[in-house]
Amino acid sequence: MTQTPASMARALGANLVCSGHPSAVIAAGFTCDLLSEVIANAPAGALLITVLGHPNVVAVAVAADLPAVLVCQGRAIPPETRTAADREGIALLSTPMNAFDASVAVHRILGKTA
Amino acid sequence: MKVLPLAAEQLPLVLQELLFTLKIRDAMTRAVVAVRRKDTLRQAQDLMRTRGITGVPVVEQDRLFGILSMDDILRAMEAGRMDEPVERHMSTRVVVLEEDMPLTFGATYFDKYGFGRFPVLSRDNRLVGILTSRDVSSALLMALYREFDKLESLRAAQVSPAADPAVLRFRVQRFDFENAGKATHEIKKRLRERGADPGRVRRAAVAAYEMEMNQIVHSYGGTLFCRIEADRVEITAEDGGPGIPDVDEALQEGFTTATEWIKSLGFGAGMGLANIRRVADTFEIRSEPGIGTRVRAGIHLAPATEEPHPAGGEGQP
Repeated sequence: MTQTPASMARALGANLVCSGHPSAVIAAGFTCDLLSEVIANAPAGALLITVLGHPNVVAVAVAADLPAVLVCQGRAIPPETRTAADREGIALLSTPMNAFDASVAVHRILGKTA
Repeated sequence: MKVLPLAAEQLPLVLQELLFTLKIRDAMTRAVVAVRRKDTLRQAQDLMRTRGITGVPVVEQDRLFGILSMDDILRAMEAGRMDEPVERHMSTRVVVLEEDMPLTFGATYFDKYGFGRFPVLSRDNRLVGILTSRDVSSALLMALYREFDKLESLRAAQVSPAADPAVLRFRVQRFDFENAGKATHEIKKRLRERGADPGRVRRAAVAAYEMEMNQIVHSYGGTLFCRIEADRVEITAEDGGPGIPDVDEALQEGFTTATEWIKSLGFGAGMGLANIRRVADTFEIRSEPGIGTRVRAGIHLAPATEEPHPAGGEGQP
């Protein structure tokens, strides 16, 4: 089942920092902190689950057609990242969960079968 | 001393760009000849004579204690104090530069302070080099050579760039993480406007982004060119050095020369060139250490009959 960034944030109990493009749809998840790996392998439409909060995460999301980024571990999201996300229409979510727990939760919400 | 003519506003644009990209670390002499505090002035003088230099920093374990100039030695010689330790005669109020500073800034120091050399410190205050006015002029000259070389090769490559509105050009600065992705974004937008297949657009975006990041992380700065044709997009990245000593090695997944702080930003996984090659239908790389690197990736925009990438290029081993 696909989710919007807002419905995903609600289901995760995550904070919706930037709401992203109005028609954004999250169809999958991809967990990684190496941006080259993300750009090479993340499926289009995926929610990027990472601990990186710097603005380049937004640039990678734009390049790889990822509608949303979930920043884990309660990592700080600097204002430059928010500005970039608002400008590019990328949703930003933030959670105190670690990347593993967040990935499991996203998996369940998307109704993927293990 | 002659004033270095670096008043930026009077220079041609290409020179301004060039000066802006050069940092002190690109010009400084790294193999620093130094003396220790307890060395005698006679030893210092010997060293300066044999190495043909007119001043030395006083250094122990990468820490800078002072600087000893020919003037200091001459004064000691007149006073018959050549067997005294360096620390008694060195200047301890040393004006230093930092390796991250723009070279233009360093150049102004020679006029401002009238010294012949400035020690260069790293962010953690270690002595990493020495900058003389000669270093500044030779670095500028080398950068000019590279720029002319680049301009010539471009002129050879592009038949009529002005008549071809489909060529986009982006300047990429070293360590400019802030603007990373701007060129990619623009290329993607243009391709979308032309109604290109989303899978192809994404492959072009991957190639462009990796090229941008490579130039930001590894080069002294460079230029990205994107040529959009009816059935094909070609993205070329050209930089002015430092060049790749072993291209085959650099093409291997996981090979990286990135530093820890670059890795902490999520880059430097050693996937860049491998990623570009993977998404491209045609790929070429040329690199010359000391000159620069050119990477060119071509991607077909319409699914051709002889399709080299199954299902949009994803899922290859």
